[in-house]
Amino acid sequence: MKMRRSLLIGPAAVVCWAAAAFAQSATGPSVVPSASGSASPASSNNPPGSAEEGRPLEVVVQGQRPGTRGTTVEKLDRTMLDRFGATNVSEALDRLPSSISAFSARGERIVSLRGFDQRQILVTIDGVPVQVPYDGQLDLGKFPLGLVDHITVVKGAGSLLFGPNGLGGAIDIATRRPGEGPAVVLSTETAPFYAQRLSGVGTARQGPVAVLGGVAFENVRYFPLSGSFTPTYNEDGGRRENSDRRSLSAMGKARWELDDHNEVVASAWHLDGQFGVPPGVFDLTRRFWRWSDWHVNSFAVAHGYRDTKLTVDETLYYSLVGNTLDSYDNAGYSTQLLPASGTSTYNDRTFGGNARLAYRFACAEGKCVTARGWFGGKKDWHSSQASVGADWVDVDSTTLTGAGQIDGPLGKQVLWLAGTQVDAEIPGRSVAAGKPNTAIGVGPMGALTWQPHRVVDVTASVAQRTRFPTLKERFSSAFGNLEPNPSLAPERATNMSLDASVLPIRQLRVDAGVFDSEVRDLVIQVPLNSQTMQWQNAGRARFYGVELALRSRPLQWLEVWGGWAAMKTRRLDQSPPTDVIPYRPDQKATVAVTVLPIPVLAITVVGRYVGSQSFQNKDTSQWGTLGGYKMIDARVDVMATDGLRLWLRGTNLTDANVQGQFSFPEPGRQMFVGASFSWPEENKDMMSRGTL
Amino acid sequence: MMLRYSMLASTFALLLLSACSSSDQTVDPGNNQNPAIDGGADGSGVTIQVSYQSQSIPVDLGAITTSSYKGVNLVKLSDVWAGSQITADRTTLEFEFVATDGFKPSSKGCADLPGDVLDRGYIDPASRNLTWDESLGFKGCYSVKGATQMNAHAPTGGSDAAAE
Repeated sequence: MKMRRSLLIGPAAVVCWAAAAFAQSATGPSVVPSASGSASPASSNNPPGSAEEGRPLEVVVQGQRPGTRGTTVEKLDRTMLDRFGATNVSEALDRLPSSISAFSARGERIVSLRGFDQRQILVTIDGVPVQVPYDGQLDLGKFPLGLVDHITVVKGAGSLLFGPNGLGGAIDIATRRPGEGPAVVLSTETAPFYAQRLSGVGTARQGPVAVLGGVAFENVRYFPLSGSFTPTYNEDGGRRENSDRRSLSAMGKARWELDDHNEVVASAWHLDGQFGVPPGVFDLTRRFWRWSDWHVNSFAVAHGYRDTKLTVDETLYYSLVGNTLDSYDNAGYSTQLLPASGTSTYNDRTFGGNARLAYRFACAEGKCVTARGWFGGKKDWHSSQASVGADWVDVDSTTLTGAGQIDGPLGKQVLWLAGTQVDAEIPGRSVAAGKPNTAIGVGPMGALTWQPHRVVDVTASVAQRTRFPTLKERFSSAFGNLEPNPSLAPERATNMSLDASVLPIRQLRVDAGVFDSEVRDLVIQVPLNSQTMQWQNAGRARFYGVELALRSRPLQWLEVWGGWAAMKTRRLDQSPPTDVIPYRPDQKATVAVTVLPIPVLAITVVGRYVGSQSFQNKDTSQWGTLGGYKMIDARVDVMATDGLRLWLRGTNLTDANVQGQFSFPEPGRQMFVGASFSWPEENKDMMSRGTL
Repeated sequence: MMLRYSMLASTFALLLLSACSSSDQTVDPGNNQNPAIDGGADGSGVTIQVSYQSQSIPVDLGAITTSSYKGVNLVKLSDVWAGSQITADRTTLEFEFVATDGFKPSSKGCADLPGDVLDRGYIDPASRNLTWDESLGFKGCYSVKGATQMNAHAPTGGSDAAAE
């Protein structure tokens, strides 16, 4: 089996290295059309022909390419992350109309995107996949934003060349590039007496070498509930029980420019924390859980080659994701004597690598045809212990991916794209009767963009994607409540979208899109008897809807960002009323308005509306409804001096009593004060910055 | 500059307006409102078969006074035993619960329960789902859904269920 894998990965790596070597000898500085169509001389650091390609450990969506227009791709930069008032990645994503996340019974904020749940979304940090290999997902609510530079979200049909398992899209969390931006940024924020956050990032460059280091610390003793929360048997209101969280994250990155074309980047990421799990306020049987250890360590090294025609990079990564979940007897969270109490441990690992290449040719009138390839493989190991003293369970799986794509112009007004991704999963050790089968997924993709005018473009795209079942779906017994199903097959989705972008005036951009996704062989829990479920490929689902986004800066001192999405999510294999998918709001909207009355003062108000959601009450098995709700956040930023920014911000200012998931209320009103210092000094004039 | 301040004032007015309007969420919790397959929502006509030795008595859950557990009206299992009018002392017996499809906790290695915990166990009179007082810390295997039988027997000398 090992030989088969090396047979596949080996040639891909050799092709990429050979291509780079060939290109180094065959090409030199030249004048080529840039991505925007204008001819410009190649510079040594950033050859213009490669400007739209990602550098090592960077994910760049080809913004000038078909299939990535309109609402399909969204980038949340640092300014937007600040203005949204989010403190972790999940909260930031929750501000997007197409995404939703809320506290769950495990104290996690798992994200869904255009109807797809997080297991069906590929999540990467600096291009490296990050997930608990067993679960196929990771709680992004535990990732503080202190070290994050920007987040890129790619939805539905717009995702190819990212890697396997992005059934419904991809999310990349990017940290800063070494040697760029301010040398030092220090930031702190506090909600007096119960929450503190600190972060610092420093970078330096000496000749061809640049380094970057960062640390972020978070200590939250509790979060407050809304004043209108009505006490229940499980929760008396005020400070949310067991809602404390403490984490330390650190990262280091180094970049070495070997010559004008080659660079090597290495990165290390560490997150370690302890998190309480607030129990359900209405649950007949509470869980008294705490994540007494929750850690992610990720290491990556990458080489990149860029010239005017060819861009190649190769990445190797290794990540360790583990946690310890303690279940206690009662709200004292100190004893573990009762039968349901205990400690379970995960120790999961992933080792993988990938190679990307893009070759531009047949350039004419400022546009080129580009051939792209993505080859990668990874192996996931899961190791767990259900209770202290129990046997360790070990399972593993290997995934291989090869993708090819070619895109280019067709006349002056049309761009085209065609590609295919082939994924293969080779299951390893099994802990249940029967060995899983090797599975293959073939995902063709095509897109056409029509640009009748320089301010209008319309893109139609279609893509088929595959997601392999997680190790948990195959092997979990959930303390006897689930029957393992090693022979589970992959889910397959067909994603279609029609997107349009219009820039009617210089400072207004309007994006609109309609999308329709159908998932076949959906992995769902099917009851084997009244007490035992099993994951089976028995489901079929359809997610369809419309999304609008508006960005405008009509005046230098006024910015408006708005988005609205309406969506239907239906299980096609069931009849009403059980065909609904829980926690998928029928509509969602976000509006952010920033006013800068003077250059050193910015006032931002963010309003959110989340439509009604259906859910299934776990105690009664009956369906219920969470009504729609709105939340208002606001912040005031003052540039006190060059480089020193002070702010006051509030979230849920109306103190709305809201449950994001039934039995799990969201925080009530919170106020924070903060300061950040950057050196060399950040320009005092905030009007010179913005999201447009 | 005038326009700038009027825009700022509008933003604050919007904020104030939002703050004054009610923003709390309405919730339909999905409580049991539908009649069970063979009975009414209040449990009338919904039965559980209680057995001991040669006796087997159907007990109408709707005929038993409910108790409130965390604000939900449920029937105590000790009251179900009393309703069967079997005279044996339940605290000297062990109990197994069987679901509609034949599932019982012992099929997952969970031993039968001692009778003295029945006063801390509840059955939903509509769905017949079992709930145990959370202070018992029972494993999920005891939360039988759709329980149709409650079978008592003399202790077998097996392991203590609560320690499973």
